[in-house]
Amino acid sequence: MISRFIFIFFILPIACNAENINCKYPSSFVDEQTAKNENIKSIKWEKHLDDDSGEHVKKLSIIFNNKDTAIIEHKYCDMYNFEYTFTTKQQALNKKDIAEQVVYAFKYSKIQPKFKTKLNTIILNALDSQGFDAKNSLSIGLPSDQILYNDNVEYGIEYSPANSNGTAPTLVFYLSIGGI
Amino acid sequence: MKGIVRSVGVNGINQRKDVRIIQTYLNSFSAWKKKIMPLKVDGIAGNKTYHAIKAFQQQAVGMKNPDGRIDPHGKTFRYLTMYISQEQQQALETAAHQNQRAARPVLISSKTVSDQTGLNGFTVSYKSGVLKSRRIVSNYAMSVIKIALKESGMKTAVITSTLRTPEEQASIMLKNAKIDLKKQYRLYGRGGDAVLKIYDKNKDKSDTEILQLMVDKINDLEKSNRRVSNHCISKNGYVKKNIIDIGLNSTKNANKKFNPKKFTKALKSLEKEGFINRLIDETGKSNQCWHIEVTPNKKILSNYNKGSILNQTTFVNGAPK
Repeated sequence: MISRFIFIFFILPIACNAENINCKYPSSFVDEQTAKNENIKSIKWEKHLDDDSGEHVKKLSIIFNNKDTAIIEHKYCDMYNFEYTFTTKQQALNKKDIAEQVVYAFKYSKIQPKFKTKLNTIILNALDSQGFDAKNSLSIGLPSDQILYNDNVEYGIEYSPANSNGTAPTLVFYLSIGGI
Repeated sequence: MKGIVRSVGVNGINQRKDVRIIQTYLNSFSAWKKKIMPLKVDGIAGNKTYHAIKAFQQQAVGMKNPDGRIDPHGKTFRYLTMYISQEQQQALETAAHQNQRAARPVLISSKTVSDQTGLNGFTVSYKSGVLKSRRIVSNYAMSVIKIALKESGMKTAVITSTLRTPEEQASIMLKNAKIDLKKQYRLYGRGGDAVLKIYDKNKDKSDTEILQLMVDKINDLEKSNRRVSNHCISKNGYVKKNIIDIGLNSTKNANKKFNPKKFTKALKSLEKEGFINRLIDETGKSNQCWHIEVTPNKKILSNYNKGSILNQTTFVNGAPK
């Protein structure tokens, strides 16, 4: 009886937080599909509510055959946030690798805005304009006026090179749609 | 003055009274454009009427692929009546309805068009709450909005928001974060969340200190081309790209004829042709506005709908020649 009381009064309200908010995007907005790529060794889905915002979070962890890893995170309620974190066993990522990874990642985004220029070209231009050097970290917002979508879209990339502590090169691509 | 009730022309309903009205209006333009051949006002929609409609669409509306059809509230009808006063329209339509010749036929000439063309009768104003220091939208962007007004048959647009400095942005975010931080996290993207984190981690500090830290973060983000809000941009950045909200309700209140759908369509057309960098129709959101981003002088305005009577753009106010 006591355990039921605890469940109803403490655990249930937390578990239903995002649903209570009356989200534009319900939990079912992202379905936990199997990632399809012949280079994938294993995948794992996780879901929870974000501590800061109470938004739905669905996360897909991927291990590729070559031991590179990727985490694809969908965070959503009033707006949709997509984040792709790729960690490689290579020494570094070059511009072409980064552009390819972002184009690959974008396929997983649940919302697919159109671009005026190819995404690949947008990335390469942005990296060139920032004087990308694989040895240095980089964080850039990508141009919003290249997007054809009737809502706010914020997207960008972050790159961290390998360091002496043994941290592997990491690329993050993010896309936020909606909000203010 | 009612205009036509049903469609006229190719695949149109072609009610006699409507056809007579269209024939009368088309005849008004025959003196201006020779390809628009004068028609007998008989209410019969035949090949000559179809050809005249297509010629008008090509010569005066600027349509590359004219469809030969005029809808009651469509673009071609708007163009047909654009340079004819309400009194003249009343007289022409009454005569057409009664199957009579108008006592005074209206003839549109090149002079009529050049006298009345351009964007003189259109107003883009700022809502009273917009600070004087923020009333910095370029003439170019104003002209782009006026073209959209003219296309949509409206007269006035009201700007409700322009530039927001990092200090103002941080101040708004701090105020709202104190009320409901979780909600703010849900409303902002990655950049905004990074600024909210600053508040979250420094709650024990004074408001002045938190505000400064948030401003610093916003400035840092801008260095890497990241924005917390569409409107949060430096003054220098704003000169390069004008960010404008046109309020739905303020604009509605300022117009006798208010047509948000046509206005949206006109803005979309301007975006498609590259005069507006970005359009977000937020009229259905809590913001209730059209959000547009315009790069001044990106594309010469005289190229807009070249050949149309809408915009003999050497007459566009404030536009580069």
